[in-house]
Amino acid sequence: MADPQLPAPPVEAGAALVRLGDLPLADLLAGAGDGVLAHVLGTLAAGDEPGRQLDVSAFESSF
Amino acid sequence: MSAGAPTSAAAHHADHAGAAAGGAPPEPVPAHRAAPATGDPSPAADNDMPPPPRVRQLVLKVHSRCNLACDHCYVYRHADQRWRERPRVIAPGTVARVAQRLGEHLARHRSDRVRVVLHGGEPLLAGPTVLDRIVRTLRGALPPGAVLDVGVQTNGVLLDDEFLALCHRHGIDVGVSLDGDRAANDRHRRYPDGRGSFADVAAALRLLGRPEHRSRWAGLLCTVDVDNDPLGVYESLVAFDPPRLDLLLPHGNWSAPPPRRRPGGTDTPYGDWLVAVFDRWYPTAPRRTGIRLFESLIALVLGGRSGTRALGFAEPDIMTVETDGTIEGTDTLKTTDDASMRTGLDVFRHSFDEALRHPSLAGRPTGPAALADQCRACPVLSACGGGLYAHRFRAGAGFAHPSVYCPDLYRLIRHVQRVVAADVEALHRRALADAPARPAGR
Repeated sequence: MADPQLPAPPVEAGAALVRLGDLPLADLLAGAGDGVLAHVLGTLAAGDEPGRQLDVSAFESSF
Repeated sequence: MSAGAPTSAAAHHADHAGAAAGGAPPEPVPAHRAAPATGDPSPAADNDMPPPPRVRQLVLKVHSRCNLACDHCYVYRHADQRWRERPRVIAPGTVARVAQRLGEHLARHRSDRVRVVLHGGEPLLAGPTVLDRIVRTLRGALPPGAVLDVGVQTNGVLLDDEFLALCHRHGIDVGVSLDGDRAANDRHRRYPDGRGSFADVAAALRLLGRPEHRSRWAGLLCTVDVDNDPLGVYESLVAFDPPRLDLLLPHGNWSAPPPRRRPGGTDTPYGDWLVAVFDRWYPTAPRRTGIRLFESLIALVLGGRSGTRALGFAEPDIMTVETDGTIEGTDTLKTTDDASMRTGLDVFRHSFDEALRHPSLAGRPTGPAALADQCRACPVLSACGGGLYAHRFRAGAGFAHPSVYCPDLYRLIRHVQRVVAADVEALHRRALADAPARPAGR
C-alpha cells in the first residue's frame, strides 16, 4: 500500500521506521518526561524487549 | 452449547477428590538427565549456527471447559471443535509427562527460564488444589537453576482469596479478560443463561487491585468490538487501574472474516478504533498504563522487538498442550480449519523437540520469506511482520497471505509512525538545544 506522505523505509525485519539518529539514547531520554515514549525508550535503553517483560507472556491470548 | 455449560469447581473437585484432598504432593516425574541450566548458548550457537528452536512459552490447558459462553471465543466458536472430546481437567499423569518433557527440553537447550501459562477453557475451574499440584509438579521437574514463570489467564469470575493465596504462594501472574464497561463486556461475555459477566469480573478486579494482591496482577485482555465506543472501552478498563492491558483483534481469516472486516476491502474499522484509543492513551503523562499492542508497535517502529505475537516477526516458540496431552502450535490456529496444523503429537510419545519440527511450530517458514509478495513489498513490513499468523489463513491456500486485517494494521502502523517520528524529532531538537548547557564529556 502506498503512502506518499512518508518515505518508503527499508522493509527487512528489524528495520526502524523511525530512526533515533546519532544522539545518545540517554540524551533523548533526558527530555522525554514520563510519558509513553519515555517508557518505551527506557526499555530500549535497558536492552529489554519493549512491551515484553520477563514476567509477562507474549502469547497474545494471555498475559 | 455444551462448552458453555456451567461446570462448577465443586463438581470438578468431586471428579478429582483423591488428588485434591489436603494439598496433594506433586506427581512423580520420570527422571531425565538434567544438565544445569546455565543460560549459556547452545552448542550450535558456538559454531555460528542459528540456535535450534526451543520453547519459550508453554500454554498448558488445565481445563477444557468454561463457565462463560462468550460468543466470540476462539476456543469454542471456531473451526476446531476437538475440545468436545478432551478431558475436562488435565490428569495428574498427563501433568507429570508435561513436566518431564519440559524438564528434558530445558536441559537439552540449557535454557534457564521458561514461562507456562495456565489456560483453558477457564483454568480456575480446575480448582486451587489441582493448580497447586500442577505448578509444583512442573517446578519439580526443571533442571537445577532453571526458573519457571507461571501465569494464568482467567475470565475472573471464580477469582477469590483462595485462588489469590495460591497465586502468591507460587508467584503466579493473573491476567483477566474484560471487554470494557458493562454494556461493552456483556455484549459478548455472558454466562450460558444469558447473564452478563461484568459485575462478577469487576468484583474480582477490585479484589485483585487491592494493595496486598496487586503484585500478582499481570493485566487486562480486551477483545475489540468496533461496535463499542473505543474511548468508552479504554476509560472503563483504565478505571480498574491495571498495570497493563492489551487490545486483541477478534480472530478471523480470509475464509472466516472477523465481524465488520470485509476481506480485501480498503475500509479500516479496526484501525480507526485502535487509533482512537492510541490517541487518548499516548499523550497522557505520566503514563497511566501499558498497552502491549501499542508499546510493541512503538518499539517496532524504533527498530526494537515486539512483545506480542500479533505484530513483528514472531518466532514460533509458543507451544500448547491440551488436557489430553496433545501437543499443538499456537492456540489461535484453532480458528483455522487447516488440518496440517493438527500435529498428531502428544507428550506421551513425543518430545518437545520432536514437536517443534512440526509445521504448526518451528517447522513452518518464518521471516519475510514466508510472507506474501505484497507483504514483502510493503513499507511497514518491519513493524507489521504480516500480523498474527492465524489471521493470514485462507482455506485451501494456507498462510502466505497478508493479514485479513491488512488495511487496519497499515492504518494503525502509519499513524503510530507519524506520531512517534514527530516526538522523536522534538526530542532531538530539545537534546541539541540542551547540549551546550551540559558539562563537557557527557
